[in-house]
Amino acid sequence: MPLYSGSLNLVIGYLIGPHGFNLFSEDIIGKLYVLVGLVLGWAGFLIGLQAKFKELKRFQSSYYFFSTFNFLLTFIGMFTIVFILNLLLNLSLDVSVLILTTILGTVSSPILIGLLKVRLKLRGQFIHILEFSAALDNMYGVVAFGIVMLFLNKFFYISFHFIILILGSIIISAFMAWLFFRMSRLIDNLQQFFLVLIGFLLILVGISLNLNISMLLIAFIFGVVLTNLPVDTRKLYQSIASAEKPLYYLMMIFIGASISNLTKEVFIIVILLVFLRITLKYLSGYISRLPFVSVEKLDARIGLPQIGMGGIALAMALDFHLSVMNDTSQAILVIVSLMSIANVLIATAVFKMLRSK
Amino acid sequence: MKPFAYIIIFLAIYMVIRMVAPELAIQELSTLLVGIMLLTSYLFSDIVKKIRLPRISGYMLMGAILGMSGIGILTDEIMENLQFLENLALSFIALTAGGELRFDMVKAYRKSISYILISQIVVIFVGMAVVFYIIAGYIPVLSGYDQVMIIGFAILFAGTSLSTSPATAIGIITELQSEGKVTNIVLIITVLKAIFLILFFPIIISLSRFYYFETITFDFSIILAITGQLGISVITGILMGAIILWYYKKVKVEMSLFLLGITLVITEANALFELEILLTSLVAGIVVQNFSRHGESIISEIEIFSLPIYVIFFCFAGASIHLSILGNMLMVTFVLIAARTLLNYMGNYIGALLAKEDKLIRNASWMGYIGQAGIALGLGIVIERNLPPEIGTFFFTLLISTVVINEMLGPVLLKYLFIKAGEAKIRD
Repeated sequence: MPLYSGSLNLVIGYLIGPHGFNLFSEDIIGKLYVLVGLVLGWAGFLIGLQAKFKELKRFQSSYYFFSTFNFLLTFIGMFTIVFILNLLLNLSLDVSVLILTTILGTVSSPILIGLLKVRLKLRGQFIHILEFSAALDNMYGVVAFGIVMLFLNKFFYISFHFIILILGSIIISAFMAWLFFRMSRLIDNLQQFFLVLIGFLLILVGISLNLNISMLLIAFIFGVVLTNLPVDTRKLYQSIASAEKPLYYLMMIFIGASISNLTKEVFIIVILLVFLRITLKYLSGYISRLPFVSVEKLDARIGLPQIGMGGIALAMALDFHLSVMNDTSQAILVIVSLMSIANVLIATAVFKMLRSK
Repeated sequence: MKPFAYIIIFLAIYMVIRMVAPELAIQELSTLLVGIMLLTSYLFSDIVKKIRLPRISGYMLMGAILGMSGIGILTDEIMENLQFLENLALSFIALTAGGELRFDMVKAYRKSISYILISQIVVIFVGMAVVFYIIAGYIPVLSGYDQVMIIGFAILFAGTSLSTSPATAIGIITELQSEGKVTNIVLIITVLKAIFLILFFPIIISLSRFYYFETITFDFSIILAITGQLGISVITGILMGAIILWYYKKVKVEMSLFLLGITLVITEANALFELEILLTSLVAGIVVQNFSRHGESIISEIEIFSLPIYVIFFCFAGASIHLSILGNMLMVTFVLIAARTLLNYMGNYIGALLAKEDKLIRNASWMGYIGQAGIALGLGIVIERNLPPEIGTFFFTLLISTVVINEMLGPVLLKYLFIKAGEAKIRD
């Protein structure tokens, strides 16, 4: 039985979408633009919430070294693959698009690792470092993605604007987080808390859309600032818990419904990328563990459980697609969606192999 | 910081964004506005709560402030762009309203419900037709029409006066967590009236057309077409209800997401096949509630999402209010509102008396049926399309003027009723 990490919703989305049974018309994304924006903001916000500085301090420095080195190695390897593919297929993609695609291929899926932990009943340093690494590479991914997206910004033409946009994103998100923190004192119950939270996220997403800043980045910064303020975390996490999965799956369904142009060439590229990515993840994990973590303690195949491509890669692809809405962004969305399904299926086999050891 | 200060901050954020990026695409602007609408409406509801008004009134008032009668942020173009979201909210609310219609409750109060319902329909319909016929002479636009045609218009207006708002009832019940006999009777009658009106309004229109179009002959095919459309809406509702139950029994994963999906399908099907969203969703809710032991828990799965949906729906309703229209027809509007309120009281009193109901239901439960919202406006659009343009626009404007006041009065009276009946768990 394949591991269920929500990727099935991509298939459901495709089946009910305009290119499947056509239960939803072609412009469903346009009609539900507000909802799509909300789920993207939600994804960025959840990653930001993990960056509670007090908690992060508790991890050993070797965890940071391993995760950062692993991320960088995968990033360099992935960029090489994408760069060569661009040359071979004569795609003439812009460097910023190549970097964006690289980031999508670099980040891994914490959900898949969480499932691995539960299914295989794993304990100890192996799973601990894996969870940490996935969470950190998602954070690196969102920040890197957001910065690269600034290069595609319609307002960006001189370095001065770049600095303004970066600072602006941080200031806006931080201000909104502070405002939320202050306003949360007026809130009576969980439903109201949820309402106010999505209200803030929609405003942030609206601002990012209007200023052409990444929705994920701005919501991520909001999450980071908020989690480090003395907000009522019980209410915050309770309201998140009840809506986390539905909104995540909704995003998958939207992406599934947007999938089109499933040509033979696309499938060939996906197969090739999946194979190269697994190899790359394995090698990166293998190499990264050598200098920083005791070799005997950490399994050489630590890179393999990181092959999953989760919601964050899909969210980035959707964010990029909504920002530029061209054939390239559509193709990237389709490729990432197919890769995430393929990786979930392959991960099942990999996990069985790991279990046997 | 006070709620009012937060409202100013959010509106200032909007202004700054508009200044920085003046040429915004409508979709991008809509996302920002929905966020601002949610937060400002919520904050404004906090302000009105302090003067003991229901939160719903706050959402609507904030909508009116944001709309074209206020500061003009929620323009008609934006509203049109967000219509799908509004329809989605309507479907969600109707699903919940249908889920509140329990057959065992209907059975338990069948005598009171049937007497009050029939009495209200007869008294309000006949009474409003007579009132409209009498005051028509004082309305300049109608002065050129002969008496037979006025009867046609009076029948139409009387039909719309029957409408009440299930959304308002559900909104107030949820807000006050009201439970008890009065709550049940008011809610059931409101939902049944909505179903009655959706089913029978096409007949009312056909009847009125005999009067204002002298040459018209009875066309059975139109009735057949409308009946067919309503039948398909009911069948779709039953099907959707059955699918929800099947999913709950067999899959039971992420029910809230699945229910959202069902409302999306209903809303989308409405656009494709011209279904009645309200009727389809109501029927789906009724099926879920009455053909499963788990009806209540299934409907409660969408609880976390219900507040944003109510806020969006009522804020939109408030933003649709055009106060300038109200100003032009103030006297006629007030006469019609007073007449409807009085007839509501009479209809309710007679029905409750015949059913031998207690004093509270006889004298006070009329307050539960004053609110008007989506259905009345929907009927107004149907009327406008069916009448000659000059009279159609007048009619729609007059209808909106009365709905505006009733929409504001409804929640306040309903809250008062539930508190007076001692059924509201949350009083403030």
